Amino acid sequence: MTRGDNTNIMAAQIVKRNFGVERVAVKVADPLRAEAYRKLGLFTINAAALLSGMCRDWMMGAEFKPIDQYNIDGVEVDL
Amino acid sequence: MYVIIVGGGNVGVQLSKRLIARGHEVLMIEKDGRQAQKLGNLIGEEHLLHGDGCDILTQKMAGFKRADIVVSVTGEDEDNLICCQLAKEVWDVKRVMARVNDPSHEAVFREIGIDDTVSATGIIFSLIDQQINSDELIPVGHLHKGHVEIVESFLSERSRLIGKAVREITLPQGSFIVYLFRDGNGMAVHGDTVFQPDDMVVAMVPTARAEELRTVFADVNQ
Repeated sequence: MTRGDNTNIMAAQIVKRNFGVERVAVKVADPLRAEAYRKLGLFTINAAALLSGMCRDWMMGAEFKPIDQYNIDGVEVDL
Repeated sequence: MYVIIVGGGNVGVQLSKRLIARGHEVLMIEKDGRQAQKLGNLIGEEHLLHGDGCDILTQKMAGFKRADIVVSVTGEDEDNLICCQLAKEVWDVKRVMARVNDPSHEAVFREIGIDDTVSATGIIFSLIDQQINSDELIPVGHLHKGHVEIVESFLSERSRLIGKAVREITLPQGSFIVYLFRDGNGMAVHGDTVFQPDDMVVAMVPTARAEELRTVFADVNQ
């Protein structure tokens, strides 16, 4: 799981910096790492944050938010 | 100094043993449980943490925040990169170093901001290369995020520089000959220094002009 995360993050950064691709999304399984790299400017998608966020919105009867809004939810990194 | 070493393979073990012997505070992080148990006997339980060095909670536990140096020497370049990047960006560690297993990744690491890399393949290749091409420039280090290279070159008896004084040589813009090894002794270089066969010249050159410098040092028939 973590190995896959690191490979994805490294690949995303190479594509973004060396090939100048603007829209780069990367799937990161670890919520903390996803949040850290989101702060560093990568568009990270975290399945746990996405699913739990959408479920909560559904249960509350709230409108679904844009996909990038769900990454921030529920991840607290206390450094 | 507090040094954190990520990856308990041969490189990590030898490195931590030496650092511990020098009296540094050393913590090694190893992901594999069985390997971690072995390492406990090798370097001591107090120097070991079983966990994933790329995991932010493990990093918190290891005390990345107060680390002076983080060295990532696992066999996986991705892990080394992410570990060093997190150390730098999340924990603000001043000095990070990554092992690069695939030399073609070195540029990527630099691009992403990991300036200090060490590549066994690269070092061995340079050594072999040095044996084959006497007029080749051997990169020994880089400064200023890789824009300036420190290179060394062995002058063969056919080199264009033999018998010439430093002041007679036109070097590429921005480059300097800084040092000379002759008969095993290091010596400073002056304008009057005359080059001899088997001299090893150390020069600093902007990376973009390294090829120009190589032709200055090259053999006559090239």
